[in-house]
Amino acid sequence: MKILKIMLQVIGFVVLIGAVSIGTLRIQRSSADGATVVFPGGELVSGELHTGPEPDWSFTDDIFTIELQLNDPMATRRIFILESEGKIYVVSGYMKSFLGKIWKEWAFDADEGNDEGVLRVNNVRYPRQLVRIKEGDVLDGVSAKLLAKYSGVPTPVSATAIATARADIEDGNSWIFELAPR
Amino acid sequence: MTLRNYLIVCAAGAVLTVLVLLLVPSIGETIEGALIAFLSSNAA
Repeated sequence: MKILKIMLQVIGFVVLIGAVSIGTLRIQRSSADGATVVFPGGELVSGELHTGPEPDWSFTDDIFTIELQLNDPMATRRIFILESEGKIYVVSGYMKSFLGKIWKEWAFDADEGNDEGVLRVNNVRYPRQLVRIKEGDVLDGVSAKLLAKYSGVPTPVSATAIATARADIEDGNSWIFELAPR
Repeated sequence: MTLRNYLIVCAAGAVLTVLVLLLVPSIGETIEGALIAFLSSNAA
């Protein structure tokens, strides 16, 4: 009985320290200029504000993650970016899983109308509007890029693999947002 | 350990954790790395 009590106390202490650690890091990061992969950050402040015509976004092929700020509520996330046919997209996976619903809160916010924000890449800020793409042939190009860039699938990506990834998006397991200029 | 002593240990541990995370950034980064690894393998 005494051993059980000690074990429960140790487990309680470990859980407490874990929760305090995560809470502390989340609060600490929430006011930072930019985000990490796990914790959202605050307003994107530094970096030149882009004006003028759209750049050639193909340079993002060499960039693993970007920072995306949503304006209301103000929060920044670090997420994947894809370029396809001259447009850029961000991906939010695991959307039907329990952890995904906690971790990818930003995607639910964006889908519910918090769709204006700022993209920061290479220390340049681009005002953007997020437009969720749920279906259509545009997803073939996005799927191919997603598989090649983040899953290590050799190019050209097979039609079967593209169809599988597209079905995953159309089923709502992964959400795709176009980052349209505003 | 009495309940009172246990609660004191928990409170001290929590305060110490907050201070260490605020004062030693590398520890926070290590915890984030572990969280990323956990989420990557368990979120699917």
